[in-house]
Amino acid sequence: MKYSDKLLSKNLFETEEPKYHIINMTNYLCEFIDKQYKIVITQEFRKQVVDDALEHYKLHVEAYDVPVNGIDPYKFISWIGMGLYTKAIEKYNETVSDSILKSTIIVMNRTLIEEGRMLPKFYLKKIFGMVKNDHIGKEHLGLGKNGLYLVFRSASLCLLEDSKYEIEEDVEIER
Amino acid sequence: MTINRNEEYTLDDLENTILEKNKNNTLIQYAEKEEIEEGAVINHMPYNSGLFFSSLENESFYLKSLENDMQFADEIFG
Repeated sequence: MKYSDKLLSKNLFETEEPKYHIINMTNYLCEFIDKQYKIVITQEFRKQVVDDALEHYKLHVEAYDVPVNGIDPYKFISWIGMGLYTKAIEKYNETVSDSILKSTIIVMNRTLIEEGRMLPKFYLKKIFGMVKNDHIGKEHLGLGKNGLYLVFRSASLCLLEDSKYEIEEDVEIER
Repeated sequence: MTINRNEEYTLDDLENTILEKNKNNTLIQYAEKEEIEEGAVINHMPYNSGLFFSSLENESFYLKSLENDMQFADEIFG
């Protein structure tokens, strides 16, 4: 039986911690956009993207039958960031939308760093280019908002079997 | 550098969303430990990330983190 079909004892927001994580993740991303690129994300805009991200979150955990006992930061930041990004494409110019996407990647990467993991810098730029492709008529070369979260989530779960192994910037890697 | 609090997303904003989703029965279910099958991949906030986002309540930590990330963004995206 799927988790969504089971009668679970409570909903996620009957615990306090996820609420504060959602608030702090949202404001940190928006504050970063403000400070780095001088773009103010209004409270109304923040509300919309959080609502949309939580709706998508529910669809995701039901579709993939995932038990939840906290907010996955990679999913949440990816989906609010992509919410801001797509709205910026509709309403503003490329400079604004690019700034939002770059900020989303930086804040997701910060989360990864907190977990003691790191993606090579080149890949952070490549992720930016691939997500952007989805929105400039090059979907066949794109990544999508679920791919964006999965890149970082997968990296966060990687364990190095040999502690001597390190990813180095100057190593020739597949591009 | 100071934090711009004017447009912040608040607990009241989130509570309104929760109320709305509760009415529509579209809230995310919480699985207690005993309700999770062995070997299942659980959706959660990893400990260190949780610590980081909770620590943003401290303003000087918040500002320092922003500074670090801004510097890193410059290195990556110029």
